[in-house]
Amino acid sequence: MAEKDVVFRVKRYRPGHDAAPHYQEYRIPYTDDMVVLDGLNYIKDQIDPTLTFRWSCRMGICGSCGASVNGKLRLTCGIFIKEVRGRAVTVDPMPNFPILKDLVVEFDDFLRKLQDVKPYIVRGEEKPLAEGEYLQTPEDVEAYRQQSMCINCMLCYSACPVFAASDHFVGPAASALAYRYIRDSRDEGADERLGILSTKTGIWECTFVGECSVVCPKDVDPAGAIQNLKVLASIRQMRELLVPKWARR
Amino acid sequence: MPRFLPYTSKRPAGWWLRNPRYLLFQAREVGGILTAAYGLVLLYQLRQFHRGPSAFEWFQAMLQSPPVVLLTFVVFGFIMVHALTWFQSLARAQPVALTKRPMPWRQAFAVTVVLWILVSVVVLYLFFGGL
Repeated sequence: MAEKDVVFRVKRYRPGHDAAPHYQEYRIPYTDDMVVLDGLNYIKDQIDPTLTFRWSCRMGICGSCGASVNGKLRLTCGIFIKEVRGRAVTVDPMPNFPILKDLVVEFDDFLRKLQDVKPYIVRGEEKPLAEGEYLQTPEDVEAYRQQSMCINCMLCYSACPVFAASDHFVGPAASALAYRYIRDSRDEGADERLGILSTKTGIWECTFVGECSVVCPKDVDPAGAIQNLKVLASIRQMRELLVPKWARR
Repeated sequence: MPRFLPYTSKRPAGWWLRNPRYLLFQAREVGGILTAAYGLVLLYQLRQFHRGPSAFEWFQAMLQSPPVVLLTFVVFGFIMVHALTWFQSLARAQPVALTKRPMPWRQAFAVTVVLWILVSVVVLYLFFGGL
């Protein structure tokens, strides 16, 4: 395969050394089968070992290598260099997050929010092991399959203008994962989660821009999940208002 | 060892101009405000009607002046954007499941727009006796 040259413009930031991030350019050879992540790895291996970025699986599963490539939010393992439009491949760290170094951003805030929404099966009482596993029909699995595809890549948070304006917003991925467990037939924590999510900083902050669903590399549709959570939270609120305690299930 | 703080950047003021979908979202929000504002204009029109024929005629003449007609067309454009993007959002979210599986969003969008047009035609017919 014939080799060609391409210029990578990569945002660099060295904490304690740089006052602000700046671009550094690298000219590298590439072939048509190289993705942007391959280009970054070429730079790190052959030109500049100080360049820092996250990656792991190279196949769109781990969700580590998200970045802004020529202004578009992508997993860098999921976009070929030949597909990038423009004179250079410009790689920026994901917006809306503090930059730790070069393309590495801090996700601590998201991890706290994710813990808050209890992204695991909550049971009031576990049945004895002797009774066997919790069985589900294909329809039961289909109810949450789409949201269970989330790989926590954080591209949705980078695309969300609401999160950019107010970082206390619970955000798309945490909401989508909460919805995933609420729709799981084995789960009994829906009421608890909806109580956590239906707050000032929760799902009601979402103005349904919808860009989170557009950039999601796994088609999770967090925007749709949040709107569904709003309906469930409203039903829960109406039940609390109108149905006497003794009549609720 | 010194603790180096992460770099936090501010979102640029023109963020909504960088992506056509952000621009459409902003237009939808502005359309919502203008819809409410036009509702106030209609309420004021009702008040002028209550005040008497001369007050109502003055207001009608003002509404028909070229600058106000131009402004009305601009408001109408924003309201159309608001309505269409709202139906589009509804189709994408489909919070109320009417079918076993969510409909393809384009199909759901088309259904809601056709229903909207039908309702508008009925309303026009009831109020004006025809288009």
